[in-house]
Amino acid sequence: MRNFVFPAFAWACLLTPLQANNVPRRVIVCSTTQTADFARQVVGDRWQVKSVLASGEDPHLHQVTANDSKLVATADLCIENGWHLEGKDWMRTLAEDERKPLVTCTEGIKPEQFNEADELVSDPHAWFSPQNASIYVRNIQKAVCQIDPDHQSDYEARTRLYLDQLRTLHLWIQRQFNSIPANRRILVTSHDAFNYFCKAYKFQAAAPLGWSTGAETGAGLTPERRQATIDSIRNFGVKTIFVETSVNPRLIREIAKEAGVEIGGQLYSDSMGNAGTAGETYLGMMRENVLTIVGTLK
Amino acid sequence: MCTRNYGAAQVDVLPEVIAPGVFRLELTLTFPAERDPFAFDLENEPTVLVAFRGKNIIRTTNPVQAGTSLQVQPLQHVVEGNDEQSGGNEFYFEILAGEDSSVARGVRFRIFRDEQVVVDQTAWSHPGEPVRGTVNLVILAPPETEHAPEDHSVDRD
Repeated sequence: MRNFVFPAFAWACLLTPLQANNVPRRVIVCSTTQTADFARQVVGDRWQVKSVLASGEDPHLHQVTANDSKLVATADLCIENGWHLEGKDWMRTLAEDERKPLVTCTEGIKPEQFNEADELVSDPHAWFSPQNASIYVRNIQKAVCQIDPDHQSDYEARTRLYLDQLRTLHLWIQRQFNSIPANRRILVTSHDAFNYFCKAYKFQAAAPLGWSTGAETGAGLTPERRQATIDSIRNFGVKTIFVETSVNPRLIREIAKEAGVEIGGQLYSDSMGNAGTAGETYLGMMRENVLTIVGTLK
Repeated sequence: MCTRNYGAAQVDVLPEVIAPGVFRLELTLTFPAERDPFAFDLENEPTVLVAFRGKNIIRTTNPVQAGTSLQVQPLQHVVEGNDEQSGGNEFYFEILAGEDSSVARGVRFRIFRDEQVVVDQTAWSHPGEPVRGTVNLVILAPPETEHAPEDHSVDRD
C-alpha cells in the first residue's frame, strides 16, 4: 500500500501543475519562438504558451496548415510580431478567422524603414534591439492583464524582472562589442534581419536576401543585391560572414567562396534554438550570437 | 503514509516606540535622473522613488537635474529598537539613470536627527543600471542613564 499510494500521488502532482480547483489554464498562441519566449516571461506557468512555428522555422515562408487553425482555435490570446514578419500576415489571418484577440508586439516601436520600389517597408526584425524587446514584453503584459486582471501584480512583477534582465543584456552586449574595432564592425548575414541590432551596437549590415526571405516588396535575392553584398565584403575588407539558423546556408556559402572569405558561424535570426540548446530563449540566442560575432570579428 | 505536526511558530510582536527628535532625509543626485527605456511604465515610472516603511515619501516622474537635493522633513514614524533585524526603519530607493547611461551612478543619502547627521552614505549603481537599494536606520533606545549609541547600515542591490 505504501509503495502504491506515494507514486500515485506524485503522478497526480506532476500531471496537474497549477490546475488546483480544476481550473484549466488559459492559452496564448504565438506566431514565433521569440514572441512565445517573451510571453512565457510574463505569464510564467499560469498560462500555456504555444508557438505556431517551431525552432528553426522561417516566419516569412510559413505555409498555414489546418493544425495551425486548430491551435489558434484553443487560444485565449494570440500574439504576432507584425510588420509582415509573418509572410502575408498569416498570424493575423488565423486570429481573425478564429475571432481571437491579437497583440501586435511591434506596436509603439519606431521602425527602421526601407524605400523599396517607392514603397516604405518597415523592417519587422525589431526584437534584435533589447530596447525594442522591452516594448514587445510590455505590449504582451498589458494584453494579459486585460484578460486576467486578478493576477495583474504577478504579471507586473515578472515583467519588471525581465525588463531588468533585458537592460543587463543590453549593457553586456555593449561591453562585449567594445573589443571590436569600429572598422571591423560589419555584419554580413543571409538576410537583412540585423538592422536594429546593427544600429544599436554601431555595426554596418549587408545581406544578399533583403529584409525577407519571402516574396514581399524588397524581399528575396536579386543579382544586384548579391553583387552589392560581394562588393561590400571586398570594399570593407570583411574577412568573415555568417549564416543564419533559419535560412538555407547555400547562398551565403556561395558568396563566401566567391568573395574569398570564411563562414564565421551560425547566428540565430528569425527563430530561436531547439529546446535544450543555449539559444532556446531570447536572452540565450542574443548571448550566443554576440559571442559568435565577438569571437570572429575582434 | 505518515504525517508530521509542526507547532505554530512563536512570533513576538513588540510595540513600536517612536524615536524622539526631528528627522530629516536628504537625497542628493550626482547625475540627472531621467526616464529609462527599460522601465516598466515608460510614461509614469518614477525617475526618483524613495519609500520608507513601505510608503512612498519621494516619488516624481519628472527628470531631476544632477546636484539637486531632495528633502523630506519632518521624516515621521522613525522607531526605536533593534531595527537591523526588524527592518523597522528601512528605506528603499530607486533612481533611474536615463537612456545613455553606461557608467556607474552615485546618490548621497543623508539622514539628520535634530540637524545632526546620523546616516551619510553614497550608493552606487552598476554601470548603466538604476541606483537601487535599501538603507536601514538603526536608532537604539537610550539606556536609563547614558546617551544612546546610534548605528546605521546600507545595503545595495
